[in-house]
Amino acid sequence: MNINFYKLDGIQLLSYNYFVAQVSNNDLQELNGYKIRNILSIAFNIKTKDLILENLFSKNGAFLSSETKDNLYRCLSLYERKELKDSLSNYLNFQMESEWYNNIIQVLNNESINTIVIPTLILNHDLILAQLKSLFPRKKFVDWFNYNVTTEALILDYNHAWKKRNIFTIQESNSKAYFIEHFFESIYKWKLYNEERHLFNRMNTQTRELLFGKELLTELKEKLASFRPKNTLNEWDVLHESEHKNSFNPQEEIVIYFRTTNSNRYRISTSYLLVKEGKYTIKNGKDLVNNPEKFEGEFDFSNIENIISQIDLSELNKAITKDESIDLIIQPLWEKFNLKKEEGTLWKQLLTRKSVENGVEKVFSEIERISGIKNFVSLNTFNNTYCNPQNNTIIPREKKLFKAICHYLELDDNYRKSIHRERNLIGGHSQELHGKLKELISAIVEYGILDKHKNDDELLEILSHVVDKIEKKVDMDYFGLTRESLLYVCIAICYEIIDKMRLKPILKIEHIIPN
Amino acid sequence: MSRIITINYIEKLNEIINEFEISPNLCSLIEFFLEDIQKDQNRAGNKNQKVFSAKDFEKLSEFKNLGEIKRIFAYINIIIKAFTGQYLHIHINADLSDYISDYLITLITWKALVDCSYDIDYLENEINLLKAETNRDLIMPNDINGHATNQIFRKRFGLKHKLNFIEKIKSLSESNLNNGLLLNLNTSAEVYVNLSDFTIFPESLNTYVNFGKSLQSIYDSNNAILQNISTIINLFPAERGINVWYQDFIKEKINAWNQFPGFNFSKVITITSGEKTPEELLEMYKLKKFQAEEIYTLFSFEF
Repeated sequence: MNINFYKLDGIQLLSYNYFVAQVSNNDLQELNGYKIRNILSIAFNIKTKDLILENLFSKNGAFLSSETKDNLYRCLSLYERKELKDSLSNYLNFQMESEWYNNIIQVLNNESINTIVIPTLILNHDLILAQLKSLFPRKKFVDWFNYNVTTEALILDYNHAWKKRNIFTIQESNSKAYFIEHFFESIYKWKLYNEERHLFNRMNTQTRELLFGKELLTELKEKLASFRPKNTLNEWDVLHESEHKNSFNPQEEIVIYFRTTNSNRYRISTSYLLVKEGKYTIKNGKDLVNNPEKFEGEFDFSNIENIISQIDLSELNKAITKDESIDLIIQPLWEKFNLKKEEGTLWKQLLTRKSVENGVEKVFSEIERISGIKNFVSLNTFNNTYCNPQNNTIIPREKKLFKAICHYLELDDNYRKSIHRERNLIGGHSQELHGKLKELISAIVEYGILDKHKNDDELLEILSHVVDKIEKKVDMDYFGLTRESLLYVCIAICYEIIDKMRLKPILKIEHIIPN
Repeated sequence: MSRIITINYIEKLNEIINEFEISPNLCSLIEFFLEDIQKDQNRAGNKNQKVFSAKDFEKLSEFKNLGEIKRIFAYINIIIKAFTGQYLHIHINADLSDYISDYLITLITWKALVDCSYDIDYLENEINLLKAETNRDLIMPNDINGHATNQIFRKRFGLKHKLNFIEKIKSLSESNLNNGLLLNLNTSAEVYVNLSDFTIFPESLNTYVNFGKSLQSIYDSNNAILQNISTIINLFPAERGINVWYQDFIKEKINAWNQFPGFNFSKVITITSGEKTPEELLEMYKLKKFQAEEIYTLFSFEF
């Protein structure tokens, strides 16, 4: 197996770097994940490029998860989306103009390779596949799942994560792999290094030292140090490591029998609310399969992911607004700044006013300075979206950025929290909200609030003793919570859990491990 | 192979492994089985009178050519000997074929047999009983059918083998009475250890081979067995399913038994296998399912 990286010139990467910055500022990690980088790698001509871009920036596209598409459409204005698309398109133009395609053709011809390994999503996209077939006539296209390792192939889909087959497990094969350097070289080097580091850490034990001697283990350690890559690992690569694995590896599952003949099947990562003699606890699938005998015949369970997805967010919002202190802060702001509610979002009206007074460039650079984020959007988008009170985006995706804007506009922290709440709770259920609610429920269960749940007054009494601990475990900013409103939210969540949980006995647990 | 593994490391490993020799007693036991099984197979008469299966002979005949298995076997023994603590987990990071793991079970068990000591009076008594029984004339009933005849002959041949087996144990074992071994195996492993129903380890030994029973069950069946045990080896323990038994032999439980007078389980070794990715290995180290003080992983490049 021969692994190669194709290098594009630094100057050609300017637009890619700009695209990455935009993706980062808007918290759209998936757009720079392994999966999308592999897809972008096969943009060889205008048609493949256009088809890829169309899929990425369409609500119906299959390349991005619904979560990312939701963020893209809910949190970014039309201008921001266009700008993101244009920067990616510019980069892809450079990639097409480079020798990348010719390089591939040359390898295929020189090595007489007839099979090309491409991403599954591309293999399933009829139009892009048709384009590839015209670009590489008489070649067979497969994905990793259908790739026969005994066949010599050209691998264009970077994969170091699938346990069954990946670029490391096929070292003996005669295949060739070609990847774009700035997409994959760093992670490849780090992967190599980390494999060795893991190995050394497992080897470095007292008994092995007794058997082999300290000097020999030091020799291995020094050799390991010499393999450490000079560049630091890209934060995206760290973020996407697990996602990359999941895209290849069939998931482990757990089967819970609640009757002798009836069972439910879940992903191993699913969490459960368990109850035994009135005491609640939260465990995930791994906990259950590691010690099934502790749970079988002992606990009743309810899938916590189901409970969360059924939580009525309006109940949560009502609970938060019970604490009127936020409104008491926000209401006077209209008067204070002499602005009218019907003329649009308050912070955007204030930003517009500042732009008129100081010039948009100055406001823009001031926010860049406070937030520490360069080019958080283009100046054009800033003008059309941020300084446009009628624009319907609620706040920027990046929390740090909105914090900086509020700081610049001298807006109270409680204002910022209430706007966060507006965005996070009014927009409906999202993956992010799901995670935050899980943290909140975990804290409620951990401190035994659900165990003692009787009525509001008693709950308030119990909560008053632990609210400061819960506060530390919950993203208060995300929900726009004050300590007072956290109390009401905990009560509302208790009622929602009681209402939505469907407890069933755990009779038997089975662990399903795919081959 | 890993890029950090140096020639020096491999040379040292080879040196350590080459220093280990399978004891003459273990070789002698294997030879004994080979001879007894061959005799049984060559004996004229109905095949239903045979004590062993033909497969057992084939398996043992291959022993001399089992380089990889001998290497793993040697390495495991070296690690156990070098380990100075109380709880050790040895993980063979490879998906061993059934053939290799069956052989390892056989070798480790038979080594335990030749390393054990015994109660001489008890053993002599058993030998005398078997001698009396095998010297007695065979009396065949008048109305006997072919199947029953075969069974009577098989039993007689089996008892003769059992007598030879116990006499062999007597000739091999060296006395070290306080160093008993409890070898825990899965129920399914019985076929690799007891080549026939006449090859079962006598209870007078201080090596006890347990097939999936809990410590309490062993104690309940014969409370003297555990009092001689100082080392416990859990070999390829069943970790899930209905026959799970590993939890009974982890630190927490063993420590609890050691609180009672008369019990001193001073070393607990758990041996597992299965190829794990670096992340899975890390998870295993974090989880410490067997509550060992040290996890020693054998990597595939080492055998």
